[in-house]
Amino acid sequence: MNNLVREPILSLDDVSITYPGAPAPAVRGVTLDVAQGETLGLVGESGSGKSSLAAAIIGLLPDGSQIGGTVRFEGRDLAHMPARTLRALRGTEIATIAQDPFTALNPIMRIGRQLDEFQHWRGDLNRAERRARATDMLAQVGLSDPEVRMTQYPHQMSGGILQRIAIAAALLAEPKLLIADEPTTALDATTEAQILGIMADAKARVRGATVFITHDISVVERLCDRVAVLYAGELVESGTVAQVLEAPKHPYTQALLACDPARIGKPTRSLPTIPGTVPAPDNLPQGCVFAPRCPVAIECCETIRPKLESAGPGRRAACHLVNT
Amino acid sequence: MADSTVSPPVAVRAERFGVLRRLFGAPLGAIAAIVVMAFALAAIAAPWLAPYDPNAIAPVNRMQGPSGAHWLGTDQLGRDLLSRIIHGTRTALYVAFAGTGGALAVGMAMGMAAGLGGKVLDSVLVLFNDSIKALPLVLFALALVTIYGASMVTLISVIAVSMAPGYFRVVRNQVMVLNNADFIVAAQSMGASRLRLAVTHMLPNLIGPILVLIAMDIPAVIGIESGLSFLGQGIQPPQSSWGNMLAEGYTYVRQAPHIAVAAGLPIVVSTIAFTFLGEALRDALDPRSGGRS
Amino acid sequence: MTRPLLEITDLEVRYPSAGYIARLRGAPAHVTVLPDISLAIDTGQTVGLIGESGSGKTTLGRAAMGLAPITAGSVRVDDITVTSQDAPEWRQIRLRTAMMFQDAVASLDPRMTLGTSVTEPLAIQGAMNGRRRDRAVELLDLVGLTPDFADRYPHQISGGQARRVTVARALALEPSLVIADEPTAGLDLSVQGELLNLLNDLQARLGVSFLLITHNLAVARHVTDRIAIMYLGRIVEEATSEQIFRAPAHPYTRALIGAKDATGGEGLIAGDVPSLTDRPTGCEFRTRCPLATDLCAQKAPALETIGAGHVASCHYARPQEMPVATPDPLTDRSEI
Repeated sequence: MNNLVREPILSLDDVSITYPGAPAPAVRGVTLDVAQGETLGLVGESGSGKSSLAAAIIGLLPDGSQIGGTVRFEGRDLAHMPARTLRALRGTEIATIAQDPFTALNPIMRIGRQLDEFQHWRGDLNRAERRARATDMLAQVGLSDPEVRMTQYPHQMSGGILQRIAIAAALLAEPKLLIADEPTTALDATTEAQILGIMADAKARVRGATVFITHDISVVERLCDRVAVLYAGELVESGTVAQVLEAPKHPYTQALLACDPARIGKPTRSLPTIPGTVPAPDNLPQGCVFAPRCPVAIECCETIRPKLESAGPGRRAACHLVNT
Repeated sequence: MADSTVSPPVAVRAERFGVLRRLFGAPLGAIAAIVVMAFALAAIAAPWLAPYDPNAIAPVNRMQGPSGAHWLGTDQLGRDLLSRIIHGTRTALYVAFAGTGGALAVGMAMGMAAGLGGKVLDSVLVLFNDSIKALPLVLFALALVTIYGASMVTLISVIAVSMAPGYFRVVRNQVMVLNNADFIVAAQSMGASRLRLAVTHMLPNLIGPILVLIAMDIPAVIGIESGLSFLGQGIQPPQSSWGNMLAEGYTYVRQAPHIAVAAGLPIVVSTIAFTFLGEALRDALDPRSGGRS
Repeated sequence: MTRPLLEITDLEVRYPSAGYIARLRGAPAHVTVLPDISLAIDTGQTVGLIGESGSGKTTLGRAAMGLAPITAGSVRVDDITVTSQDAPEWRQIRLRTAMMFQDAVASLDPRMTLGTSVTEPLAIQGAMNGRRRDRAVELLDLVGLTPDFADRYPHQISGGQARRVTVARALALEPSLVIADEPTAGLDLSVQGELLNLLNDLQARLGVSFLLITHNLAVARHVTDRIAIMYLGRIVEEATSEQIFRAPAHPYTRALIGAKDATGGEGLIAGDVPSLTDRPTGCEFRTRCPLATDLCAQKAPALETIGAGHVASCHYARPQEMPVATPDPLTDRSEI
């Protein structure tokens, strides 16, 4: 787990994102690396900017959005790459799994044909070989009748099966970077457990790195090596999953973990909350973004914005109380 | 108690004024609204606005071009064209509003009945309305004119009957969607009666699409009135109508092209204005389009 | 023993399905969502109704308010009993029972101000005392919203705020029972806690009973007194929340708990929920059950008492002590 040795697959440096017409950036100064073979969990609540960050990585921000800083994929800057080159990367070296499997697949095309088309870049294979590859992949994600599934349409299947097909489609690309945006949020509890199991297998087969975007800490716990916690568009803490979940340093991470009813051992009628609301991007506090809601804020938190600094081996946090 | 105590500064405004403000906030909408209001004013105040009697024949002045005395010139009988256009506006808008009003009343009653009534009633009404829609409008109109003779009443009836299915469909579909909307079920769960559901929840949510449809239909109706009058099957001379005037202008287009131009212009302008007004209304009426500030 | 506040007895809910043409082709004329279900809630109690989508939990909540076609059985609230959807007595029941919908924003009329919406139950039931706006402000205050919310529209507020508005509306008639369908769906963790605390607080102050419909066991564990687990429109296990988590008896319950908590359980449940129009013979869970035998295919298990206040429908039901719920969350994470 020594990331100094390995060249990062994905490297974000001081990334900020401003939506067209927005008065202020939705994401500010995010710096993080994802190393070869690593699975990163990008965690945050609504308004944290996690989805914006994912959209920036795969180049799917709305037209006119401004990306500051650099987003490097194997050394190439994705943020300032010609649209054509980026399109060629998507679906081959970078693959994504979307939140809603019902809209991710074309409703009027058979699964087999869609999986065939996802492999259009494999000029070395003929159609039969590509279909065989797809059928094989469907079996690998645990579908019982892969041949039958190939001839079916999306509406004939449940969300859990469709999400498996979406995972298979992503894996067919043999991506160096797999981005999964809340892949289990739309699913039922038992289906979610099945899909997480398959995701765990799948990420082992990804040649490069996997980024998981989620609001669910238990997903991070099951699948990720490292975690980055976002709050109000800023990266507040990062480190290995074991480190961060066991001994969170940033008060926001601490509060977020405390709020999760699944992590509270003894049943209680008085659940912990985080008082206050997430500040709007154009109405940020002067100092630390979390200071107004922070239970341990001191005077300098109100005025000076903390930098993301080393908080022990392999982990970083943006908090005055951690760094001093 | 987080997101309650600090309330973001949302500009709260009275919704009715909000609609007008949004309507006039869009440049096209504002222009369209002003043009439509000008037509409406001309229609209402025609007897006072028109400089001459629209039917006063003066053969001495026939087919004169625009002048200080006759701003738009005169027609083949020496009638003042401006006065005839102003009175023609009255005819056009009268037919338009009476026709769409009739269509709305009939279509809405049927749509509500289909949406709130049983499956059988719905099937019958859908079949009936689809049958009407399948009739070719001009043939249908000519048939009625043959039976009942050309008159304003026949014209308005033709329009009301042929336009009603449009309202029927919008109202029925909207009611069907609303039937399953959570806020309707919520009102039911509070014990609301059917009448209450229809009046307090359905109607306000129907007004938007219906107003838009009316604004979009009026130019079509103006076109039908002008068209049938042009063919001699609508408004009968000497009553002034844009279609009549266009027909007369067409006859003399070589000698006096200004007659056809003067008659054609209001048809084009009013049609465009009502269409744009309809689109602007659709955007302005949706409270969600105002967004959070 | 006193009589429960709400008692649902042998209730069947059947929806007409398919149109004329599909029926000619052989499609079934009806879908039975709830074949035969009974449930009771005591005054001041919170009962959690747990199940996956398609389990019929939302339908049961709606049927309890007369919003679903009841084809057999009865619903009783206090001393009013009804046996059909069009019974006039629903008006009486709706005076004492309120409902919160899964999609809070959609359950508010987009063209009504929030002030009008929260006081609508009062207007419908003719129970408006004093000025409408004053009552609206009082109700909004009850859920911690400032008076200016009364003049806003649903699209101008956040999801968490919309939830609060629906809580205020549910409490307008001071009901004895509130049916809350997924009250925390779509909320962030920190806001979810706030809403649940608010409901608990209101229960403590006003003595309201809650039927909490959710798929979220972690939430149910903290805020319910009893839990009923639903599968394909039937209750497969019901017990106190403590019993359900400490010693679940039905394999489906164990799977749900295991699936969510990563604390072991009997492992993952394979496959999908069967279709309501194609129910398995015998035990309906057998197609996914790790314990299924021939007996399960032949004979449907009855809901039987297996302990004090603990019922389950499984031929092999046995309370099984679970490893202590949520110990160190990090121990098991490599398992799946």
